[in-house]
Amino acid sequence: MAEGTGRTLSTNEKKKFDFGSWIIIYISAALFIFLSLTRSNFFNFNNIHSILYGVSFNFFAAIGFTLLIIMGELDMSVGSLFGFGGAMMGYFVFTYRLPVGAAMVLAMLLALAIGLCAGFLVVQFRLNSMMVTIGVMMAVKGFNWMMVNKFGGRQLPSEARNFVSVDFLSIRWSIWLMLVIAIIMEILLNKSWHFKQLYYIGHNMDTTILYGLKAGRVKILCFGLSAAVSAFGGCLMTARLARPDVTVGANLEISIITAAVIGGASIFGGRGSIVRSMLGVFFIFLLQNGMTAYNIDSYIQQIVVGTILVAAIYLDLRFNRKKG
Amino acid sequence: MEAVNRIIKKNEFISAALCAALVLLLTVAGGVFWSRGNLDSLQANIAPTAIMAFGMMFLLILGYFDLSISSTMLLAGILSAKFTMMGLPIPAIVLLVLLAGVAMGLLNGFLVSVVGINALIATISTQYMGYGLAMTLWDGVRGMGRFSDSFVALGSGKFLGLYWMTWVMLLLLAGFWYFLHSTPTGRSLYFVGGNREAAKLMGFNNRRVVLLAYTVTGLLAALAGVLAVARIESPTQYLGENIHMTCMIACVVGGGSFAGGKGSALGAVLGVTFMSLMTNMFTLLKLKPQFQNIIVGLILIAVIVLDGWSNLKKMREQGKI
Repeated sequence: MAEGTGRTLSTNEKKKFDFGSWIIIYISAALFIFLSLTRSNFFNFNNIHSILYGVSFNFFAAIGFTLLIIMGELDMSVGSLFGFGGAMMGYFVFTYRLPVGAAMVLAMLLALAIGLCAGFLVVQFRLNSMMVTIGVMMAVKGFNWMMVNKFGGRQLPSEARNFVSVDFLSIRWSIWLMLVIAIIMEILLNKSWHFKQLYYIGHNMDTTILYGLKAGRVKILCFGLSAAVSAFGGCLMTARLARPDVTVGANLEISIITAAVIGGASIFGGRGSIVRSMLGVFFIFLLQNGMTAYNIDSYIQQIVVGTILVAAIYLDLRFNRKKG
Repeated sequence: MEAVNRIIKKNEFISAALCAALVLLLTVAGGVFWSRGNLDSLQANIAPTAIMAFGMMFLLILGYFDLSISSTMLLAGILSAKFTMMGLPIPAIVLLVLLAGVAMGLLNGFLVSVVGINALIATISTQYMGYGLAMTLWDGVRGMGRFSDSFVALGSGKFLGLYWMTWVMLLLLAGFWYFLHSTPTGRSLYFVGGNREAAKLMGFNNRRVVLLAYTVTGLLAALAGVLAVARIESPTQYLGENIHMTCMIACVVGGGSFAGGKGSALGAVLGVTFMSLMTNMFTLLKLKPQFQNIIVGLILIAVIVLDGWSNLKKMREQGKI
């Protein structure tokens, strides 16, 4: 599994027990086995397939988020841009009768523009990215709400609904896409110089600038990418729900940040991996699935996820805080 | 001329000018603004928000934030209903709800100052948890209907033409003004917030002050929740929605800064008044609430950018970057 990411700069870090990298695999496996043993209807193809299907949508919000957290930036707008993708897809399909592919591309381009603007503001004025993206989140959420209200719960035409439920080797294509992207990104982050620079920027931005890396430009691009890819995930989710809805992407940022941090990313930057973020999303889904199987109220699930986030951040603080 | 210059340079000047401009605009736009009903609803809007904004300003001066106040307010509203249904007397209800607010504040303060978690992440997770907690309780109070008359009086009782909650706000304004301006502890906050490292070297105990600030913020959010829900007269799950954003914008418009070390109690009130006048304008212009969210989000971004820009300029002048 993804070993060695983010450790390129310091050698003495290897001596320490690498807590963050492995914990996600252990706890996911433990939870999986626990649920298989205690719930009779858990371990069957349909249930696990539907969990993975759900994970495959949210994963798209985690890609850009992970790239940004590696650079020490937090993008809280992924959830609202996820919803934005779906709302805009609905808008283009309903209003201009565009084919669903074109509608998705347009929605992603608009999201890209929003992400680039947010990234520009963060880099240009050296702002706290979490603060800026909370503002973006709020504005975009209001916009989504306005758009979705306009449609009044209309169903998408069948061609805009059915493309998402196409199977390949009896597994949904979005799951395959997720796995392929995760593996390719993982290899790139470990091997390609272009992607490795994200870790350098996360470790020490000022030094990378001295060495001639265009750190600001990389960050802006990643903000754009994060927004566009989240919007793509939102389009798929909306197609699955069959209509644009305000619940698409609601509170998603909390699960994604939790997923990334229990997947070994550090909010101090310099660490993180796409495969482990994917496992983090899987873990959160598994947990919610398990709690639902145990008839635990969805609001209590919210409290549990929040507690896990705080605990994960605390462990991150204990194990990953930069010295000095 | 000297006096004019001094007033313009005050941190509160911008918010005061913005408020004056909006009042003028609303007066010119139509007669409804100065009507009794509108002024009452404006008061009921400003007072709870300003009560919370004092806490937020306290934190901002220290260089921290609290995003969880909206869920604390909601929790306070729902707990008031819960305790009313349990048949507790009103003083006990208020006391217990305020204690719940203190607990939320202590949790935040513990996470931020003792554990050392980034304030934004800590309080956004407690916001998420607090909302979950409030909504689990919500099912039990959904069908409650109206509060008792004596509880409602907390929110809509008047004294000399102003609501009780407005008097509470004014009292807190005086208290915070005195604390921040005339006590050594209050004055040291600006120093701590402006330069945390130097303050630590000089032996100021940041941790305890930060813990105190979060606790006070939680307490004030619960107080605002009780007053607001008493004014609405029945529990609602929409109480306090997005109010943490409103408070944050209000404090920065009123002269606070995300970098810490700046701000005043009067600025908080003026900032909140500005935000309430804006909402009032939207309502009088019959703008949809969703549209208001977009505008508030955009204002937040603008405020963050302007604040960041001025900090950047200051740091360049000081030669720090």
